[in-house]
Amino acid sequence: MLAEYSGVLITLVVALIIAGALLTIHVFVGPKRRFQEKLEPFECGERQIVSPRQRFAVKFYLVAILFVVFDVEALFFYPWGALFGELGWHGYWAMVVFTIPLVVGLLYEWMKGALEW
Amino acid sequence: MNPPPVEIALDFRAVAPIAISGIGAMAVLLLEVFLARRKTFLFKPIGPSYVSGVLGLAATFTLVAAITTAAQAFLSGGTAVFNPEHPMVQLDRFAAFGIGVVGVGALLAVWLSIHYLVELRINYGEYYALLLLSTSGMMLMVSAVDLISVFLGLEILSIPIYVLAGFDRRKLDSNESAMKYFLTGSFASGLLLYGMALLYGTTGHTDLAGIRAAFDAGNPLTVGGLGLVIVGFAFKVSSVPFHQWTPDVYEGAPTSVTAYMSVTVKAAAFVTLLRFAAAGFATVPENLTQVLWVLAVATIAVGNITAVVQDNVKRMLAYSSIGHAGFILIGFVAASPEGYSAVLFYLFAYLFMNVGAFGVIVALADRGRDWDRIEDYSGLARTRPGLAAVMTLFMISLAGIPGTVGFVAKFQIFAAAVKAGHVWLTVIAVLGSVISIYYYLRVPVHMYMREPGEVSPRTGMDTTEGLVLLTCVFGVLFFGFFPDGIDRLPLSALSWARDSVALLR
Repeated sequence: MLAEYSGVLITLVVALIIAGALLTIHVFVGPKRRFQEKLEPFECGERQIVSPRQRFAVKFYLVAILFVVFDVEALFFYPWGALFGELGWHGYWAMVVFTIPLVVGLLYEWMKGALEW
Repeated sequence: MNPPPVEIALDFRAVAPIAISGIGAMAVLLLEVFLARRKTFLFKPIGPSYVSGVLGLAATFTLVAAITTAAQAFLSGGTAVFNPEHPMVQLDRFAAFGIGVVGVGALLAVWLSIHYLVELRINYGEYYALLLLSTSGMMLMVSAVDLISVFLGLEILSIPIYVLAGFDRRKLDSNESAMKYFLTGSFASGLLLYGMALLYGTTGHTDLAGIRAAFDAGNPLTVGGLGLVIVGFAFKVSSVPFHQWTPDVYEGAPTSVTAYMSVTVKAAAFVTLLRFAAAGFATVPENLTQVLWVLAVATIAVGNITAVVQDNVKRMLAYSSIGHAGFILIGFVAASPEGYSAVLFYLFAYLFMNVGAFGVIVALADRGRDWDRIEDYSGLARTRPGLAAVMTLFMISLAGIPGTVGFVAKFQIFAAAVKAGHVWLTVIAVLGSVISIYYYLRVPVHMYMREPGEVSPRTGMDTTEGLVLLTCVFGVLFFGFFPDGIDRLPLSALSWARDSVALLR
C-alpha cells in the first residue's frame, strides 16, 4: 500500500537535492563583498531594532481584510459566470444565498465607517 | 449544445434552524448599525442602554423560532435531508435534540447578557450577532452527516466565540482568553482536519454513512484518523490532556460568554462525536475504547482534583467543567445505547446547572467587574439570601446530590458503564464525584457560615437575569425529581434522549 506513495518520496528527494544545491553552489561560485548593511538579516528595508510597542494605523489591516473578502468573492463569481447556463436557476439562487451575507457585511462596515480613510 | 440545467430537489426543512439563526444574526448586525449610530432617528427614543435590550429581544425571537422548528422536527420524528442526492445536512431526532440543547443554552446566555453587557460597559450589538452566528454553526455541526459540513460547522461556531471571549477588550484577562482560545482552537481544528483527511483517504468517503460502511479497523491510518478526530473534539470539550486552555479562557471571558460556551460548545462537540462514534466505533478495536477509558479517567482526576485548590469561582467552575467532560466520556466508553442516551441527558442536565451557576455570578457583577473570588461570596446568605439559596442548589446539582438533575444524569452514566462491564471506571468516577462535593460545597460554606466581608454592592436583579435563574432552578428541580416528566407536564427528557439515540443504530 505504501508503494502508492513512492511518488511523494521521489518528489521529496528531488526537492531536497534542488534546494540543497541552490543553497550550496553559490557559496563556492558567487563573489563575496562583505559590508555592514549586507550582513544584517534581510528585513524588506525596515530597520531591525525598534520598539515592538509602536502604534500603527489599524486601517491597513482593515483594508487588507476587506480586500481578501471581496477578492474571494470575485474568485467564486468567475467560474459561476462561466457555467451560468448549465447551473440554471439552482445555481442562480445558490449564488444569491452566497452574496446576501456579503452584502450585509458590506453594509455593516460601510455604516461603521470602515470605508472612510 | 448546452447540457440541461441542474435540477436538485432541496428540502429546506432540514436547514430551517440553521438558516433562522444565521439570518437572525445578519438582521441583528444590521439592526445594531442602525440603532447604535447616534445620528439615526431610532437611537434617540431608546438610548444606549436599551440597545442591548432591543437586540437581545431580536436574538430571543430568532432563537425561539429556531428551537420551535427543531422541536417540531423532533415531535414529527421524521428525517429531513437537505440534498438527498448528496446528504450533508440532516435534521433527524438526534440533530433536533442537539439543536434544542444548543438553542436553549444560547437563549439563556442572551438573557444573561442583556443587563450584564451594560454593567460591564461593553454594550456593543455585535455581541448578539456573534452569539447567533456561533449558534447557527453549532446547529450545523450537530445536524451534519458529512466531514465537510462537520468542519464547516465547527469553524462557524469557533470563530465568533474567539471574538466573544475577548469581547471585554479593555481587560487584559479577556484579551488573553481570546488569544489563548484562538491559538489552541486553531491547533485543534488542524488536528481534526488531519484526522478527517486520513479518514477520507483510507475509506474514500466524506459522508459518515460511507465511512461507516468502508471502515477498516485493521488499517492503522483509519484508526489513526478516527483517533485524531477524537483529539480534535477532546480539545473542544476540554478533556485532559487537551484541557490547558480551559481555566484561563473561562476565567478571562465575560461571564455570560463563559456560561454560553461552557454549555453549548461542549454539547455540540459531544453530540457530533456521538455521530462519529456511531459511524466508527461499532467496528473499532478494543484499544480505542481503552484510549477513551484513559481519557475519561485522566479528565475526571485532573479536573476534580485541580478544582479543589481554586480560589476563584469562575476558575473552579472551569475545572469542574473539565471534570464533567470526564463523566460524559464514560458514556462513550460504555458504547451502548444506554451510554449514548446518558450522554445526551447529561448534556441536557449540565445546561441548567452550569448556566445557573454562572448566572448567579452574572447577577452579582457590579461596576464593570465580576465578583467571582470565593471571598466575595462570604456571608452572601445574609445580604442576598435568595441568590445564595439558588447558588447552593446549583452547586448541589453539579455535585450530583439526589433530588437534582445532576444526580439523575450521573446515575444514568454510571448505570450504563456498570451494565457495559466497566466497574472500575465507575468506581473511579464516583471517587471523583466525592472529591467534587468538597469544592462545590465550599461556596455554600462561604455563603452561609462566614461573616460578610466586602460583598458586591449590587442589590437588585435584572428581570432577564431572574428569568434565567428561574428557568435553571425549574430545570434542576423538575428534571431532578421527574426526569421522565409527569402527566400534566410531559417533559420527558429521559425518553427524548433515548428516542434520539435510537436513530444512531
